[in-house]
Amino acid sequence: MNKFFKASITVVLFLFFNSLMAQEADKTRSSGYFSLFGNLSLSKQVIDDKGVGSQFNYAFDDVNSNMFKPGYSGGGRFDGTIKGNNFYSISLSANRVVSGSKYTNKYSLAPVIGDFTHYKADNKMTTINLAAHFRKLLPISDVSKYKFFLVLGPSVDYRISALGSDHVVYEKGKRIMVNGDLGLEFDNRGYYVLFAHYRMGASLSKPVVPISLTRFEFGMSIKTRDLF
Amino acid sequence: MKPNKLIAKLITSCFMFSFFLIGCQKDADVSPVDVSFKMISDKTWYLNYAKEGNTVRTYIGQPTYYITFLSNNTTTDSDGLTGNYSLSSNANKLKLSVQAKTKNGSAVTYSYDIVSVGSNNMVLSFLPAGQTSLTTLYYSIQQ
Repeated sequence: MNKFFKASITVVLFLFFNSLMAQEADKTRSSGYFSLFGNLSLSKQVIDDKGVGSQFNYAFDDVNSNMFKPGYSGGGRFDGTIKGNNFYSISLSANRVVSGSKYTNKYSLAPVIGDFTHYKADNKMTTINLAAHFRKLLPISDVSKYKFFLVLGPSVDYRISALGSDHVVYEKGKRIMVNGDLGLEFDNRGYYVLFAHYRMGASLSKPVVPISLTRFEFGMSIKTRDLF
Repeated sequence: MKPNKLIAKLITSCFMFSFFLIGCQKDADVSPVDVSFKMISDKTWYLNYAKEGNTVRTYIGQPTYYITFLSNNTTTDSDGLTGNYSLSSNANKLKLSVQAKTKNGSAVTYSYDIVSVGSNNMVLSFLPAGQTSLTTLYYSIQQ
């Protein structure tokens, strides 16, 4: 993708968001509202090669890090209701995912090569995420002021960053990941929403080496009409 | 426009701009040969073990054979051979081929099957002439 095309997409998206924000500011009565949000995330991927080998070896201790690593996201979302009391949200975000990697299988080639893996998955990527969430209002505290929501729904990640050479050699073109999301949200009198989401994802197309990506996201959203 | 709203718009546009300018990249066309080349080139590989049939010889802690592969596809080794090397892939099997010359100018050509290759370790095998069992060579970048 050349730089002119990238810049064009950026400008179009920026104008689109700005028009949405302007429309929102003009509305006197609305069944929903737009917000901007940002969050920090903790991610870990599990790589299970199912015993499928390759001719490559990567030192297990160099690539395996069974831990969550921090990333960040930002984007916009629309919160609305259906028939008055069924809450939902639709969001579009850009995500910088940095993940720990847990390899379920390790191998050795005696006498010289100790524990190794046959594959090395990318642990840094940039994605665009589209999510549709059903929000169940929980009967906690005074719901006219403070609202707690249980959030549930699917989302799709499209990887926009290039895959590393060690990853792309087996997984070229497999950029779409489907997630199941579960979370809690706290709406403080409409001023802002604090949220914590758990996201579990896997590649949409059948990969050579199945990778599941687990993320915890902690963030805040603020209505665009309060920002702009 | 109020200053804080202008700042909010600028932050939003900068965030989106950075993601799309830096983030959008397409997949490179990478083959197993490319990955192998990246792993073995510009390194000197020392023979640590040689396995002939069921016999394993160790060269750890003693003078041993070594071979250097450079990224310009040239190679030199401890026996004084200099020449070129290439990697190829056939039916999901990687092969390392060397075309070299001895110090007195005699041509030497040989090729090995790559059993396993990494950034620090490499295992090659070949079937010696007149033999029925494979010889496996275990190299690492540490002597």
